Amino acid sequence: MTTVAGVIFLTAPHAGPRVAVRLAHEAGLTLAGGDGESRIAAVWEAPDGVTLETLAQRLLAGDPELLGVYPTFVGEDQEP
Amino acid sequence: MSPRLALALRAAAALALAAPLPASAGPAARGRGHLDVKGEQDCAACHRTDTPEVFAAWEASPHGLALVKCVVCHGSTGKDFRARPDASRCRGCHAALVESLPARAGRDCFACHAPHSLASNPHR
Amino acid sequence: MSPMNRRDFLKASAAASALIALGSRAQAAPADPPGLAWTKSVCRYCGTGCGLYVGTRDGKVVSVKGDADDHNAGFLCLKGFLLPQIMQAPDRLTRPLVRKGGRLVPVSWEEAMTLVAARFRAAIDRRGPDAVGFYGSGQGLTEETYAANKLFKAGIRTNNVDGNPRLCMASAVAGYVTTYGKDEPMGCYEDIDHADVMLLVGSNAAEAHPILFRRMVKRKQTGKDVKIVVLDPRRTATSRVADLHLSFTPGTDLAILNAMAHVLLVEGLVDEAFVARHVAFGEGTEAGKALPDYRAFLADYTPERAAAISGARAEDIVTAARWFGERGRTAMSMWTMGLNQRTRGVWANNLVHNLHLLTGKIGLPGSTPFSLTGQPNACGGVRDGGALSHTLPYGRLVANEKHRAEMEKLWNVPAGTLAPKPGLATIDMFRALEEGELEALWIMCTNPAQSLPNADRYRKALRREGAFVVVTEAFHPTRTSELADVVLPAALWAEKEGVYGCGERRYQLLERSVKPLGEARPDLEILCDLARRLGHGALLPWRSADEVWDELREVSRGTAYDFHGMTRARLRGAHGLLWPLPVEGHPGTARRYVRGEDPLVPADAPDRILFYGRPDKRAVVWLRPHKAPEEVVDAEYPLWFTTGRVIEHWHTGTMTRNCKELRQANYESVAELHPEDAAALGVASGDRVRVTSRRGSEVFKARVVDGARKGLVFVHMHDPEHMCNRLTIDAVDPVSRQPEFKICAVKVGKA
Repeated sequence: MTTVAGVIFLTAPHAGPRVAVRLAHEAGLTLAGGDGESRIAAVWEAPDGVTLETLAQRLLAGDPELLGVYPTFVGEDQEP
Repeated sequence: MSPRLALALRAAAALALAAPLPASAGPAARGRGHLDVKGEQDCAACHRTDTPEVFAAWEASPHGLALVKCVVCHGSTGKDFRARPDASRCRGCHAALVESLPARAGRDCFACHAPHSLASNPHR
Repeated sequence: MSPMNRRDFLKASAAASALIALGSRAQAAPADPPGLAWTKSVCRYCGTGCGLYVGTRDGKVVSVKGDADDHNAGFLCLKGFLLPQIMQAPDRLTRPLVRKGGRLVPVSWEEAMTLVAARFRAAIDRRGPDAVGFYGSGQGLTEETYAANKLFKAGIRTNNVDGNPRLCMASAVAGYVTTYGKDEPMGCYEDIDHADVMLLVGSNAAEAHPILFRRMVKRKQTGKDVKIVVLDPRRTATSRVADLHLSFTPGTDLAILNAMAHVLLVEGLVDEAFVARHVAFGEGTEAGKALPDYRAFLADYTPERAAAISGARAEDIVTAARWFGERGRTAMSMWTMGLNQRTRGVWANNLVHNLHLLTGKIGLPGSTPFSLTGQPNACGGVRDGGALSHTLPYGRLVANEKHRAEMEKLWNVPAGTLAPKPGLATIDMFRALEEGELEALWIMCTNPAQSLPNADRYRKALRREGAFVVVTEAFHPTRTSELADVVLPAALWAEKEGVYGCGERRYQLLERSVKPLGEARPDLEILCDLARRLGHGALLPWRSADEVWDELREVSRGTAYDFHGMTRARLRGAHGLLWPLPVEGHPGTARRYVRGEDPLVPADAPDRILFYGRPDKRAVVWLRPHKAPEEVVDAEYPLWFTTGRVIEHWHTGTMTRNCKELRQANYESVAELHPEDAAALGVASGDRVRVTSRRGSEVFKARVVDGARKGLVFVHMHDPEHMCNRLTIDAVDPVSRQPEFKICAVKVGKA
């Protein structure tokens, strides 16, 4: 089973592009766009919602320029 | 769905609805023209001293080294001037990358690439 | 819903929701606009030869994008990127013009061509075939240049066929021919990706070969301890990536290159085994010397002596030589006009080849002496095609009886048709026009009234009473078309099909994208028309460029250029092919003279390398002394004057000055001055200065530039209203006949 989430990443002012680069290397994360300033839109796939939360916490803890992780949509696919 | 995730979702909805887009300190919105410049001259003639951070960022970037000058992305100072270039300009050299971005989502190179310094390469 | 579809659906929904939350800042950039058709082609500009696709809509060129599958990996410089704007430029010529009562007036093609044929016929009848001439271009398509060459040499029977590569690459040609017996680089662009040391001498690649420069920079950034050495009196944009920049008095690079060879010898960096097997030594025109002679010759060229002559630092010369010669490291030299546009251009080329031959750094990935070609088709059309006054196609020479016989057979003309004496090289041709020896001149796809050195003199020659000048051009007025008797509207770039051969022996097909504007016609069509009117229709029977190609393949068969296997169909599908390519199915040749890569080297050749260009199967290290340029500074003309290019513009600007961004970025030719020189003259940036040489005078805006060399003034060649060539000298290299655009003496004062 896979959880698919639409996510907004909120960054420190003007840090959007830098954070986007670091996020781009995250497994399961596909960048979808941003405002070039402080907000990044992305699609995240993970085995389940709990894993997504754990991943979000790890990112927040590890990147001082990342201020928030906000899911806008969460869906579930039976397939792995 | 976990309770925390559900809470986050409501927060995101609130964020999206409540927060107007922040006024950006970055490049001007599309459509605003360039200052009327008398005669032809290289952009650097003024911008080296008028917008030194922008010029320095460009000069140190891959575009600066390759001499992809201001006019390539921004056009001339006439009617074709674009403060925020659109991806059709990028396509001239980076067609495959532009086309790899999801079309429905909008092809905005500058969502990830910092303008002028182009420091990042998320396509790797 | 299938599993895959559901996943995609979820992802799309997720993305959409995130983007909606983001708000309207994320813009939808236009996808390819509907109705856009792409055709495969090549950039119109420099000898790098970037592949690209031309986008057309409603019969007009609206867009270009780089060809990701070609050597340029999809990249274009700003000139190439802005090509669409040249096609519909307001000064495109759409109708033939004939001079009547002192003015050029529009006429029909029939009237213009009748006049042209009559005047050429009259000149030939009056004074013989050598009364007429053809001045062509390294920007003409291969098929067009070949047609002109055949018509004039085999039809009209004059060898007065030359072209602007005489001003650009002739010294490189003679350098390759005297050293290896055959023209054209043996390496390829891919060598850049393997070079440990890059020696750039007389090249501002950052501005003149931007996409190759990009490749060099990439190599420097990704390779291990890659070193770039730049030899140039000026610090240009290229120097930004230099690990070592040597500045020197103009013209003294011969001493420096000899001194580098000296260091290689004394420090034991010579590959003695390679030299013993593959190298001969020569002086003057005879290859009858040996290594001990060379050692003795170079004894004088110590780094200290070279430093004294040149003003470069001796330790820098030593460092450059050591980096170049370091065992186990590859070395690639690249050069352009700084070496070629000199009265000792051939010698300068020889001296670069010497470094590679002494160290054996040749024919290996990353080790090669690579002359960067200026124009998009100097190689394919004029050099390879033999459209110079002393050459015949594909390595053959006018003066060689066997070669003439071969061509007469191939061209199906009677034995003895081809004249045995070489014709007039460019400067000689325009002098003959001046003196009345030449009565009628056909100028194709070039702008000599702006691009010739000592321009005022030859502008007068073009207007001499009794001279008849025909110019085929896409734009009017140019500085040349304004002087012509007849101007014929030529199809431009995307309006015609043909082949370009760029600097790395890569032949590429330019497909036609749009119809010619107005009454413009491809030069091939115009030449075939001329041929018919002069009674030589049988020699030029073609109705399309396609039809010429099979003949070209046949003419190349069995020569060092053999591209018989390069069928038109294959070119259409490929993203360029490198010759030799003798049979269909052959992949093309990245490195010549190398066993296993070059099909002209027998599989059982004893060594890795075979220099088959010369009978002795060796390459020659020539003993060339340092010799000063033709004109040096003195009390009356105390400043050096040099000319060159900037990235925004191409040649005389007839195309690039039609692109608004390029016009904006660099409009005028300005006089670049060193801060101390400017101060001494009381001149600041923006002031107008008068620059005067023994030949002429011109007023330029001054610009004070930090990277300039003290005592040296630089002006670019791209401005028809401020022509640097009013000042330059028309002295030529005695072997290549290429003029010394790069060096003369001037005085500067406030205007």
